[in-house]
Amino acid sequence: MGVMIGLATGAVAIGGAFALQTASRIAAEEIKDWLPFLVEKLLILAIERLPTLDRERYREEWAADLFEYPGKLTQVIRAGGFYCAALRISAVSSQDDGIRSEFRTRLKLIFQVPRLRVLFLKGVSFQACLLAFETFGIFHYHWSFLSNTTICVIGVLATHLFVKWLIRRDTLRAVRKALKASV
Amino acid sequence: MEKDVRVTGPTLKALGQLLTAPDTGISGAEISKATKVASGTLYPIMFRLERARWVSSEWEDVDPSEAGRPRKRLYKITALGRVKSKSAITDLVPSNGRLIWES
Repeated sequence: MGVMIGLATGAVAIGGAFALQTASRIAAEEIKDWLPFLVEKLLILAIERLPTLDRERYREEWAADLFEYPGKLTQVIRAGGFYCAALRISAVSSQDDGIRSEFRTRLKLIFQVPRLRVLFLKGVSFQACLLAFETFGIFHYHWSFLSNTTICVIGVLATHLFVKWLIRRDTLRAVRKALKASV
Repeated sequence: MEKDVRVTGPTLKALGQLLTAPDTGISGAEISKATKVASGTLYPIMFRLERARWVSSEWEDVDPSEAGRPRKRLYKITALGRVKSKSAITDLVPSNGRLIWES
């Protein structure tokens, strides 16, 4: 009886060890597969924290930096560092130049990119028309639940979010391209 | 516009590394590897030094598609940076074999 219990315990221990080893191997591979995604996300987050004019430069510079560190875990640590660096750079930049300068830079950037410029102008003209219609009473919407002002506010917000999404998508594409080159 | 730079330990390490390659320039990753200063500390330092005109930077002269990697940004110490870093080092006086700030 004692021998049987001993054998059963041994079998359970061996089975447990084997299962644990398999599980840890799967977990390690899972984490390894997720690391490039994490690096990419951290890099995008870092770039988005930077002053607008410095983003393009640091995107390429930091992608080149990661290229010099082939280890995936090291790349995650470096990318985490970039996030902290971006916060500090942004703080120094806003201390020196002020928030107004950052706003001016963003506005300039909108007019540098043709697609964004068109979109911006369309949004502004659409909202200006709506305001004019309301002010001079040329045209009225007959929606009881939405005033023209509300429509304008929604229009401005939607334009802003769309432009933000476009910039984020472009950044994501550029970062992916730079990171692909580094693999 | 020239700005004042707070010279800390990592700043001195970075400046020291830049002085080893005054003509060719050195990338942030190379400075980081040589000085063991983390990326989160190094890049804000380089940003401040560049703003203060102690350091200048330019893109590496390679085509990323041909090289198969992104271009490096190479940092070089300027004449002003050399003068300022020397004066920062001379402000340090030896005390029991260690460097301390002169009050």
